[in-house]
Amino acid sequence: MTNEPALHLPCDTDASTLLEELYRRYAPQGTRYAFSMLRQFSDAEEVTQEAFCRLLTKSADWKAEELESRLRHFSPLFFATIRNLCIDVIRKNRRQRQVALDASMEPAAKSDTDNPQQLEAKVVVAMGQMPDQWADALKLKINGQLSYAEIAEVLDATHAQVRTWIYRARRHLETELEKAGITVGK
Amino acid sequence: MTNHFNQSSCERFGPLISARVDGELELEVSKQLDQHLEMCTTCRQRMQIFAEINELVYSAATPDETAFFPVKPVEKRLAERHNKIGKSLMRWIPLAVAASVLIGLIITALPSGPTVTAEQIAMPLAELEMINDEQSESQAQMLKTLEFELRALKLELGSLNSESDSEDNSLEERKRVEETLDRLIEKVKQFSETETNQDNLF
Repeated sequence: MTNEPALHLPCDTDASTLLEELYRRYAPQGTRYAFSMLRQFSDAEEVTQEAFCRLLTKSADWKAEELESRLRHFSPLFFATIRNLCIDVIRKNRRQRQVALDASMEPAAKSDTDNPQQLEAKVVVAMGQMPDQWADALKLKINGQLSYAEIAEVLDATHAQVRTWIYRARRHLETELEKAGITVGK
Repeated sequence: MTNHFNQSSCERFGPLISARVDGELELEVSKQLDQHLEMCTTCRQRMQIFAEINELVYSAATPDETAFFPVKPVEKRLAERHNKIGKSLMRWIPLAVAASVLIGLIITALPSGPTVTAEQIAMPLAELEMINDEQSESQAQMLKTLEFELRALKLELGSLNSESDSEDNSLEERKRVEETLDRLIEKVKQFSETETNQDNLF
């Protein structure tokens, strides 16, 4: 999923130009990942842009020798910043979010599962019920399109932990969707 | 094909199947998994389930068909950030110009000659001349200060021009303010010169 072509820019490209290029590359995944956490597109967009602006501001303080390694590891840095900002937004809107989740957790009739929106709602609810680390790892993989190594960096975990969390998240979703009468993969 | 494996042995392959779906499986392990998948229908099915779950999670994170992920707004936001400091200073420039104009007007509106009160009339002529000199001196001093202030303002504006981004609108605005400042400096200079000439006549 992350087999992106390498970034080829002239050697004398400054940090801000390079960061802007990286932003163009990672903004869609970043916004999608933020949206999967916040469920509000405008917030997701805002958070992604804010994360980028923060990195851009920080880059002014980076020393020349550390610049290259930092930019090489841009995606974990970018997604970690998005994640932290999302957590802040969630904390701020915790009450509203709880109300919204409670409403969407009401049992739906079986026929509702044919509706793609209802199906998505079930996925969102099931994701909300699993441990944060599992959900985070899966979202970073699918929506952020990061590699396991990059996810490990974002979540400050090991490669093996990430693999297990993602597997458990998938199993949890499989079980929850089955409970809701949704059969997948058959 | 029938399934020859018990549940616990399949559980062992679960994380590997998940990693395979993500394209994260090492070559050696991948071969082992392939061998298992050839014989295990449950695990093949699980791989299909995991792939479908991926699609579900992905589509659940897509707002709707019309809202696509824009890249342009961030450029706007960045431009705003770049100009933030410059703009905050720019906001004060019209105020500073207005204040300078006001000071200039007050000074020019003041009578150029020294003001004499009833008590001063009674004073001896020598003392009156001394007061006159003092007042003229302080007026000239005020004018000099004003001129310096305007020059400092112009210098500050110049440094702003070189620091911040060159957006067409802000450049035009800055040029306009600069011209106004030039005019003001010139006026003050002229006024100062007339004052000195008048002093010399006396």
